[in-house]
Amino acid sequence: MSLFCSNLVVEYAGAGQVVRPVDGLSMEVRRGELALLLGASGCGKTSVLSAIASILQPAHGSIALEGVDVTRLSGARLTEYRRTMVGVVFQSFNLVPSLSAAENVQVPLRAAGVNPRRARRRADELLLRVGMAGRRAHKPGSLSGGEQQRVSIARALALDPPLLVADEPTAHLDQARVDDVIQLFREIADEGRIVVVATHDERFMAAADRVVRLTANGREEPSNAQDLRLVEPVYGFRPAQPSPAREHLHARRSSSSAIAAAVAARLPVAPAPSPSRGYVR
Amino acid sequence: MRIAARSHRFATPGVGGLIGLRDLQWRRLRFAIAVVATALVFALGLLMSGVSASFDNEIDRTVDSFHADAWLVRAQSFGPFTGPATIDEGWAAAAARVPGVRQADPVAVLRATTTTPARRNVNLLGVVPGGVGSPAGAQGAMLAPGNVAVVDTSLGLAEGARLDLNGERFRVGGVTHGRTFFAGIPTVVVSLRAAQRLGLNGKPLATAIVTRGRPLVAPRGLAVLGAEDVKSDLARPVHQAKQTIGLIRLLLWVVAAGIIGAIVYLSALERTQDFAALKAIGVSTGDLLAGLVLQAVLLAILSAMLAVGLEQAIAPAVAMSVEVSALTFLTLPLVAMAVGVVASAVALRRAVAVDPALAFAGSR
Repeated sequence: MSLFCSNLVVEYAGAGQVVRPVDGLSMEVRRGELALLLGASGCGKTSVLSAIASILQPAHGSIALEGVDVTRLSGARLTEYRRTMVGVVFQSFNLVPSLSAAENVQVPLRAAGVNPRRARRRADELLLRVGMAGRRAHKPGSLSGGEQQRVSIARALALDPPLLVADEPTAHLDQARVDDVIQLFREIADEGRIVVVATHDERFMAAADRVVRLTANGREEPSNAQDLRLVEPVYGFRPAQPSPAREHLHARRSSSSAIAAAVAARLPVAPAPSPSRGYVR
Repeated sequence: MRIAARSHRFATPGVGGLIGLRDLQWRRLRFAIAVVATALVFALGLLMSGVSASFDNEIDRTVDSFHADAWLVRAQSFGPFTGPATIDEGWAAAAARVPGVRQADPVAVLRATTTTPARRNVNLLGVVPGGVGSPAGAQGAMLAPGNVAVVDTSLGLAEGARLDLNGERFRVGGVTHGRTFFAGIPTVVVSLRAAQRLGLNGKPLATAIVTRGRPLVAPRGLAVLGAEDVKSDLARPVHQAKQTIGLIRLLLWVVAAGIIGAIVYLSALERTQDFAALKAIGVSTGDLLAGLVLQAVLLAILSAMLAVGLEQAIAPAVAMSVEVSALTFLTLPLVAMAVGVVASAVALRRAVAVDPALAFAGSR
């Protein structure tokens, strides 16, 4: 199972002009991989995440998960996709302030029709997993940023979605918590999920399988500039299973179809020479 | 582990309810204030309903208290209460001989003023003691000896108390309940002779003849009215008042809807980001709407329940009779629910319009 984004274009219209923060992005992320959308603020990372989560309709291009083009979903099927196929961890957590930590985790379960007792049990399991079992009855307002982050992750995992997207998950965390969260995302990917993280935090790179670097000033690039540049292959390794090749993609915002072609020409899979996890140049 | 989920959205009513209820608890002070404010409006609505209903009820009680099958009034007269035109009391004897009539007695429907216990107007009824229209039993019999009156309890006089009518002294021989008309003006029943002395210069006149048995033909110069005709005639002077009360009551419902709508809309407005995030994680719009409707309906029903208590507390302080029927009490929660649902419409539109992309607001 893979996530394919092909020739993705996201546009925002307003004040008589169209802004195109994402212009022709293509990428693939496979099951078990942690992919980073890396770049400075305003470069379109969140737009890509929103499109992948089917929260934002791209102007052009397609996004396929398990062979389904999610850009064509609407109505109940769209809601179903958001509910069961994608878990979202928001930058500002977006926990419902009136609900306890456990109830926040139960929301997607109850929305999916899981009976309340089972939903409570599942929420407790997830809170235990993210180290929040002792804070299950607390409201978000009485939780620290790191704790809210963990509850938010638990909520995203509630229905065990195959795809998890996270927007700047380390933005509100101190250093000690950052390491924990990065480790947690790595583990979530290792369980066989596709994890896509938008961040400007390069500390994430050590745990990533793929890095898609978005640049902020693509519009000033000459139109005939190289749209996608594959820098040297980067290999990362997981202790439990052979790793696919890590691809470090440097995607510039442009309208060329060369991106898709470049992604299609995938890097070879390298054997894991070392059990250590790392980001090796 | 993939969690099994039911696909049919109507199988999952719980999440909207959970979110709605928790939000009410979260904003409980605001909710409590809204409940009290709405309850006051509902209570005023109940009082208005009670006053309006009392207009109809007092008419029924007054007319029915005569136990008359027919009312004979001067031809061209609208009725015995609103436009009394005098007739000779001797016509009652002629009316008693009309086929279909078993008994006929003259009555006088007049106005009077009293200074006991305070200066106010009263409806004065003069009846033949023991005759048609006379209070039943001992109360009717005690009118005969002289200046004895049977008064309505709203006059505030007890049995045996002194009553001054148009400057003439009477003794209260009996007290009745709910015998008022013209919007709560109390009725004083005296003997026909006393009424003639007080309002007709002592002349042997009457304003109507009441009969047992309905005359098959109208006696010359008289018109025959049934009880419903008389009630309709008696209702005419208060018709405009009832219309006004009905309009005010409608406006009160609108105000209640406005309070509920404002509270629920404000709640929806403040939760725009929550709604966006909930939509983004797959909570259906229907579930969010269910939560908002639940809030509105709960607010309305709790307000209605409190309003019943408030109405009971306020009603004794109202100068006019307040008669809220059991049906009104029972329908209030239903009306309140309807008001709640209608009031939440604006908030529902707001919730439907929330773009889930807002959940990512602040970072693009």
